[in-house]
Amino acid sequence: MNALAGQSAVLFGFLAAVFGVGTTAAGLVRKRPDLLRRGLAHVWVVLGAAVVAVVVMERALIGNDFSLEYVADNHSRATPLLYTVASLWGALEGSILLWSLILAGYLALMARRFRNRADDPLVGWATVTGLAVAVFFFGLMLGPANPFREVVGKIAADGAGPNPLLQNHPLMAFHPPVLYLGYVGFTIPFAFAIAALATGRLGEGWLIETRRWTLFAWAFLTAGIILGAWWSYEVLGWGGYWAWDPVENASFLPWLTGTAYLHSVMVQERRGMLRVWNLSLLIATFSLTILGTFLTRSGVLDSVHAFTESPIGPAILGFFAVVVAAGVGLIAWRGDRLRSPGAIDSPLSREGAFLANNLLFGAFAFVVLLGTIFPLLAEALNGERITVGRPYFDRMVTPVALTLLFLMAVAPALPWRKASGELLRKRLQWPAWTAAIVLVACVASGLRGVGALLAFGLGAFAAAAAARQLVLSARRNGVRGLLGRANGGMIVHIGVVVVAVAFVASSSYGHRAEFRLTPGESATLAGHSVTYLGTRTVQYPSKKRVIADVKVDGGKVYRPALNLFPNATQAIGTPSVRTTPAGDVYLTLIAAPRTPEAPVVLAVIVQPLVMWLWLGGALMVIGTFMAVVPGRRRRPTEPASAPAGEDRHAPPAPDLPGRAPVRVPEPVRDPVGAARPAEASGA
Amino acid sequence: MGRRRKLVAGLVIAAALGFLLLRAVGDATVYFKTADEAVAERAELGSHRFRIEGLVVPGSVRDGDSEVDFTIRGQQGAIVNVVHKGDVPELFQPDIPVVMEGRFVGQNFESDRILVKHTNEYKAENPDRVEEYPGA
Repeated sequence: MNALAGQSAVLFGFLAAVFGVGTTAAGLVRKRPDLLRRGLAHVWVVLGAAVVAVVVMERALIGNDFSLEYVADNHSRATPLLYTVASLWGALEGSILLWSLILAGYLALMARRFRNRADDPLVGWATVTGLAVAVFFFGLMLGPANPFREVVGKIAADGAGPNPLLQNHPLMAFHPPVLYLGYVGFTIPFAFAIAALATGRLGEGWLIETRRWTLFAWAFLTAGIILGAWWSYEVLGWGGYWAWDPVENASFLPWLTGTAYLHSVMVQERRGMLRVWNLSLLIATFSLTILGTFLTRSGVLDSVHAFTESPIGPAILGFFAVVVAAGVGLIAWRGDRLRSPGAIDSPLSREGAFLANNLLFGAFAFVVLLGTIFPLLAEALNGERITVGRPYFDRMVTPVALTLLFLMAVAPALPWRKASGELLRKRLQWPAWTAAIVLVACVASGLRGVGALLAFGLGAFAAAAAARQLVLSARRNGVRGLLGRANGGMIVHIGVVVVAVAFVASSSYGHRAEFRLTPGESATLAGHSVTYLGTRTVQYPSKKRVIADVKVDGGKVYRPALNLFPNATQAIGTPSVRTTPAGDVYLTLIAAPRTPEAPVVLAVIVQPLVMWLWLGGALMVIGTFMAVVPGRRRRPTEPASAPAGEDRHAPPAPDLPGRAPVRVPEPVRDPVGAARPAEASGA
Repeated sequence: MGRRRKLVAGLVIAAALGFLLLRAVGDATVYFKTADEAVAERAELGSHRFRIEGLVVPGSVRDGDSEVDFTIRGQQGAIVNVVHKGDVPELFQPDIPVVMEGRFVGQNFESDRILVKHTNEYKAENPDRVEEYPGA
């Protein structure tokens, strides 16, 4: 029953997406607005189908319908409700279903937002692109990743339950959906980028339409990555939160290119430059979300040759190739229209800083991408199985990250076009003093290590520069001075500094030791004492848990545990962490005692400032949402000299799709370019 | 600066960065061998550091004070004696596949890092991190 309902819903969604693509494309070719409107309406059918499919799957999970293979593999009667619901995204097929639901949701939001402009070809092309992506994901569920496949033969009375690691912490219920909201959110800007290329309307209009979509997607992606790190810290028991493993890199790569885009897009809005670059970054960001799905879902990481074993690998890789080929092909085709109307006047300017930012983010992404896929390339080329270790990432990423911190301090102080040394001195004076004081304070308090000290000094520099901007803006405009993109961006910058400082401090000044302790025995690490009191075993419906009582610093008792799940061969640890703003004491039970009197093996990890990683991440997300709220700003399409405050009454910029009364060739319609005196290109 | 000179300068910088990058990757690369491969390539491996994979032979685990001795076997039956410095995790049970990082010393493979290989679906999703068991 569930299988039939679910499969019908998926098929229905697939067909709706296919017909939506067909109708919209026909409307575009024949220039029929009625077809365009009807095409866009298909989005609602796709959303309805996705919702029904997800509801059916949840019903099957909660109702213990073990006739479905997915339920039998990922659920058991003993699984608690929260993890039962979360099992929807615990394995491949379900996560594709969640992806499809979120994609349909985003497409529906797009349809709603642009409902009055459905007959605009730009919106039409974006609809075609978005629905084509939906065709792919619904298609996966019809074929290789069918979540509603039925069990062949006898139906079991109970299932295997979710992977033990996935039913060990409530964060599991939030991390994947938030991450997917980020991943999938980049589909909308991507669709508009493709639409701009297809229609040839390459002015700044499409950028402005998708600005908030990109910010939202970026905020969710940031939150998803931070939640993933937090989950890793709370569950995996190795005391870390970031290991440069391919799964983490897969989520980090689109974040890097997306971040580069959020910065370089401002150069295009202001000065009409970097058009090819911005389109490339958006297409790269979307492609990297697909590549990430390929890396994490196809089994290619186990062995290059494993990914062909499941049909999903070649399917996703093929889709990735299509996306990249379409993007590169369209940019090449439109090359003549993409020429910038100007060039950067001076490297010491806001746009010069954004360019440097982009080169650094590009290099960052390339370094991470190379480290991630190098083992795959090596295996494919000469059959050697290798791993690229953490030293590679640490060594290559550190200089890039430090330079980015420096740029974060200087860039907000730089004016557009050209900066004078005097202006820069004036604006950077007190941030530089702050950095110097922080640096001296760090050295005086005994901190050592060039890399770490540089990070703290540059972090202070960047944070002070951002704070200076916020203070000035708040003095002018009150609380509203904290809103808007530039000010929200500064809050994000402070969040980044908090994360960077916490990251460096916890990884540079951490201590780790393992102790073999009998009941009553104590051990000391980095000024913290731990006393082992004893263990007890508790039987839960879904697992057996061995809990150790450990007193930390003579105070509260913490309880690291080992969990034995009936269907797993290995015990899963549950670390216990004492968190304070100054630092964490992290306890993991390594080996349970054979008898009550026998010693346990306990790992103790002491790391400073870990809590600030999560708080800094939260600040980044809050800052992004404040950036989405419009602050007191002029329309970016207006010339920079327009008096502030007239924005609300200004006539809509002629480039906005659907409102353009006259059709004039693009370069002339570019309001930014047109409003400026002609600039000689080249130098 | 002419367009050509800019291009040449860009290429030189890109080549230099590429060289640095490749060297960094090369330095940080750890080879991965099954027990069978390791035994067959014993001479070439010398005292290089690499990762070895095999099944723990049941009954071979002897727990010492600061080290653990055990034997692993490959799919084709090659046998390697392992001396692991440090404690082994609870995850570590006989007859499950394990990966160790270390080098050959005399007759033994001396490891200081154990990665337990999980066999379920989650592996594909999160391979290194889940397997990784930080060494002592």
